[in-house]
Amino acid sequence: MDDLIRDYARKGFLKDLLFNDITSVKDIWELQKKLKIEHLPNTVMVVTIDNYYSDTLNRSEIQKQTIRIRLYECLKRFAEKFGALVVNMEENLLAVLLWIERDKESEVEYSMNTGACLKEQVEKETGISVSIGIGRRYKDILDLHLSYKEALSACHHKFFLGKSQVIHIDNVLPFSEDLGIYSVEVESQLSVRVLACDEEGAYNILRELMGNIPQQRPINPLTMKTRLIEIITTLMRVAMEAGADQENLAALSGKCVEGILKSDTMADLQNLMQQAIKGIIQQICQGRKRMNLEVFERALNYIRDNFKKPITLEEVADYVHISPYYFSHGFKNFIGISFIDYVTKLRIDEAKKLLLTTDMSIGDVGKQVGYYDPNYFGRVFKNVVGIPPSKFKVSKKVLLDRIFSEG
Amino acid sequence: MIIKSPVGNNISCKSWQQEGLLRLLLNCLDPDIAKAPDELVAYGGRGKVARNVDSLKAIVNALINLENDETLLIQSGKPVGVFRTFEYAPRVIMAGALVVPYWSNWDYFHKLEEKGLTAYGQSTAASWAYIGTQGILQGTWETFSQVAKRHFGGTLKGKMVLTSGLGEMGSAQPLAVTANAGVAIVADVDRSIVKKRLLSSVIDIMANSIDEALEIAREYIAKCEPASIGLCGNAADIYEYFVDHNIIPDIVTDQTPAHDLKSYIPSGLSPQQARKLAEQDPIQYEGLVMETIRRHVKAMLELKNKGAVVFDYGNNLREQGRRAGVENAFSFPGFASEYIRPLFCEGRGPFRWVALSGDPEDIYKTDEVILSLFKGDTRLSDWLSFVERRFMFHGLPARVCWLNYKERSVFGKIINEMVASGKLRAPIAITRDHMDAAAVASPFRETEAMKDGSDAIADWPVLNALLNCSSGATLVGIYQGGGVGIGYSIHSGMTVVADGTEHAQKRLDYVLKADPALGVIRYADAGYDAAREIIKDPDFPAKVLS
Repeated sequence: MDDLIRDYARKGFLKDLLFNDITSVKDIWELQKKLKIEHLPNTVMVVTIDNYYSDTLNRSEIQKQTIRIRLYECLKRFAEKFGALVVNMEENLLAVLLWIERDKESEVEYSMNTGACLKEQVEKETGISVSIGIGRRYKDILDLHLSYKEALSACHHKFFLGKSQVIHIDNVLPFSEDLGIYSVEVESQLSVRVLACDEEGAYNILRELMGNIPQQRPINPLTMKTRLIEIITTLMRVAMEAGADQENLAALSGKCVEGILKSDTMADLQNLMQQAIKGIIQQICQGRKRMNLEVFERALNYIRDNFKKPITLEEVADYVHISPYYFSHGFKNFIGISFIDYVTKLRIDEAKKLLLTTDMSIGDVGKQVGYYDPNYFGRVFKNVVGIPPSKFKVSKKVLLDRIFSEG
Repeated sequence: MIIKSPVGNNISCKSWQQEGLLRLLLNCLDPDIAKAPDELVAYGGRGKVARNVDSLKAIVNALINLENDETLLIQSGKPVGVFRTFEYAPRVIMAGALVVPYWSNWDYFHKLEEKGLTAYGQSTAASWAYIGTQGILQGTWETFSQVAKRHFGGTLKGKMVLTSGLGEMGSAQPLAVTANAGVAIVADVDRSIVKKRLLSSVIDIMANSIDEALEIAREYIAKCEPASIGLCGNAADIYEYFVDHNIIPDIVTDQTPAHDLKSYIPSGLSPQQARKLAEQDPIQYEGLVMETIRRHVKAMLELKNKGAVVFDYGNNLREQGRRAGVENAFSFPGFASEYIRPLFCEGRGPFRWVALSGDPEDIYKTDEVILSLFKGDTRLSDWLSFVERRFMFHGLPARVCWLNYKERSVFGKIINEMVASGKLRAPIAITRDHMDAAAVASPFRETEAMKDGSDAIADWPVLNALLNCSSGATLVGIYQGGGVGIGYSIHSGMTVVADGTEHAQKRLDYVLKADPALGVIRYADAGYDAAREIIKDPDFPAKVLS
C-alpha cells in the first residue's frame, strides 16, 4: 500500500472509529495493523477555527480550502510529536486522536497541556485562532466515539468562554436546557418595538436578554439558538403582517438562520441578532412606504369620484381602512397639501370649468361641485381664485369671445 | 506509579517459566485492568496481588533471580523463602488468606490483616491470574447458554429474561443474553448507570417505564431478534409489577448487590437518598433494605410458581431473603449448582491463556486453532465470534474458554508446539479461574446442594493444589474466601507456562490432564452420573479408586 493510499485509508478508518461504524474489535485490530497505526487512540480532541463562518463569508471556496489545509497540515505536524493522529470531520472540524497512557489522576491535566501546546503552536504558525474541546480517555476502542462526542460537547462551551480556548469535558458543567429567560413576554415586547420601528428599543431588549445568560450553568447554545430563531421567525411574521415584502423577508430569514446556527461565540450571536432585527425593521419601513402609495392613490381616486358630494376626511379614511388621524397626516405627506385643500382645489377647478362652459347660475354651479350654500361657495371661490365667481364668469367670457372672433 | 507487564521477547528472569509468572503478576496491576493498582487491588472489592508494596518489590526481585530448580514461597502475598527443589517443581507456591477454621470469619481476619499478618486475595488476584472482565463475561455467557440448553432447546431466541443490576458484574448479563439470541430486561435503580451502559452499548435500549420496556421486549420477541433493554427502577418494584400483572418472563434472575446490604437500594429511594439515609440512620436503612429484599425474593418465588425459570446469581439474595423472613427463599436454585455443575461433571471449566508477547495476534492465532480443533462445537465458536467482536484486550491479551478435561491437554500441547515453531511471538501462560470442578469448595455457590452433602468438604481444593504441585504446574496456590468471603470458601489456583520446550510440554501434559480429571473424580465421588460415566473411559487420565 503506498503512502498516499494508506493516508486516505487511515483517515477513513479514524472517521469510522469516531462515528462508531466498526463493530468488531478484531477487525479494528487488523485494520490497525494494516494501516500501521502504532497505538489505538483512547482520547479525542476536536479543533475548530474560531469565527470561521463570519470570517469566511465573503471568501471564495478556494480561499476557505487554503485556510483549512494550512490548519490541517500544521496540526498534523505538531500532533505527530504527541503520537496523535488528525482527521478532518467537517468543513470546520478536525479531530485529533490521542493515545494517553496515564493514570486517572493526571489524565485531564495531561490532555489539557497537550491541547494548550497544540493550540499555541498552531496559532503561532498559522495565525489562525482555534479552540479545542477534549473528551475523556476510554480504554475500550469501541467507546472512542464517546470521547469524540464529549470533545464536541466541550468545544461548544467556547460559545460562552470566547475564542481561542482549550476546554476539557471534565472542567465544564453540562449545559442547561432551561430557556426561562426567553419568555413569550420578551418576544411580544420585541415585537412591539420592531413594529414601532424602534431600533434602539429593540436592541435594548436584546442586550438585556443576552446579557442575562447565567454563567454558572450556561444554556445549551443550540437550544438557545433554536429559541432565538423562533423569536426571529415570530418577528418576521409580524413584519409580514405589517406589509413587509415576503420575498425580501424570506431571503433575510434564510441568512439570519444560517448565521445564528453558525455563530461561534455569544458576541457573534448578539451581533447577528442585532443585524437581523435591523433588517426586519428596514423591511417594515419599506413595506409601509409602499403600502402608503397604494392607499393614497386609492384615496385620491375616491376623492376625485366623490368630491361633488359632501365628502369628509373620515369617510375617505374609512374607505381605505386607515385611521382618520393617520390618513390626515399621511395624505399631506403624500401630495403636499391637506385633504380639505385638495378637495377644495378639485371643486373650484370644476366650478371654473362650469362657469366658463355653461350658462348655469352661480348657485347651481356651487351645488354642482358640492357647495350647497351659495354664499359659502362665493367666499371659498374668491379665496382661491382671487375674484368672485360672477366676475370670473364675465371676464373669462369676454376673453373667450375675443379669441373666437379673432379666430 | 504505573505498573504494566513487560511485553515482547526479551526476558529479565532466568527462564520463561519465571518470566511468565512475573508478567502475569505485573499484568494484574495494569491500570486498564486492575481496580485500584496503587493499593495492589486487582478486582473484587479488595483482592490483592501482594501483601504490600515492599512484598511486591521483593517478589519481583525474587522472580528475577529465581533459578530453574528453585521454588519461591508466598504466604498471603508476602515472599517468605526460596527453596532448592526440582526443575519440574513449581517455581512459585502460595498459601493465602487461610485461617484455622474456628477463627475463619471477617472480624478475626480483619484483625490479622491490620497486624499485617495476612492479605485477602480473592481468587485470581492472589494467584496472579486476573485478566480483566473477559472472565466475568464468559462465566455469564456460559450460564445463560446452559439455561438455553437446559430449558429452551439451546437458544434464547424469542425468550424474555428479566434480571437486574448493571454494575461491574451485572453488566455482563445483557451482553450474554443477547449473545444467546434472547431479549433481556435489566433493571437498575441508578439512572446514571443505565445511561452509562447505554452509551457503551452494553444495553441496546433504555426504557423509562415498565410498560415501555415490555412493549419493546414484546416487539423484539415477536421478531425473534435479540435486544437488551435497560430499565430505570427498583428491582423489587419491577418484579412485583410482573407478578401483579401476570406477566411471566421465561427466565428470572438478579445481580443487585444483595450480598452487601450497604449497597442495596431500598424501594422508594434514589441512590442519592439511599446513601444519605445509610449514613444518617444505618439501622432504619437496613430495615428498609430487608423489607425490599423480602418483596424482591417473594416476587421471584411467585414468578417461579407461575412457570418462570428462576435462579440466584451468586449474590446471596436467597440467604438475605431468608433472613428477611422468606422461609422458602431457597426454593429456587443457585446458578452454579443448577447450570455450572453439569459442566464440572465433565471436567469442563474456565480455562484461560495469556499471550506473554503482549501481541493480540498470538491470541487470534490460538482462536483460529481452537476453532479448527473443536470444529462443530457451536458453543465454542459462538463464544469466540462474540468475544472477538465485542472484547478489546487490555494489558496482556488473553482468552477464556470453557474446555473439558480432554480438550485442555490437547490444546495445551498445540499451544506449546506453536510457541516452539515460532508461530506465536512468545510463550503462553495457561491458567484458569478458581471456580473449577476440583478447585473450589464453596457451599453457597459452586458446591451448594451437592448430591452427597459434601458441600463444605474442603479436601478437594487442597488435593487439587497438591496434585498440581506434583504434576509440575509453574505456579500453585491454595486460598480462602474468594467470591463469597472469609469462612465460606477454599480454592486453589494454578498456572503453567507453555514456553515451547519439551520440559514445558511435560508439565503441560501432566497438569492439564490431572487438574480437570480430579474435578471429574470429585463429582463422580459425590454421585453424579455424568462424571461416573466419564471415569469409566479407558483413556481417563487417572486410575479411579473409589
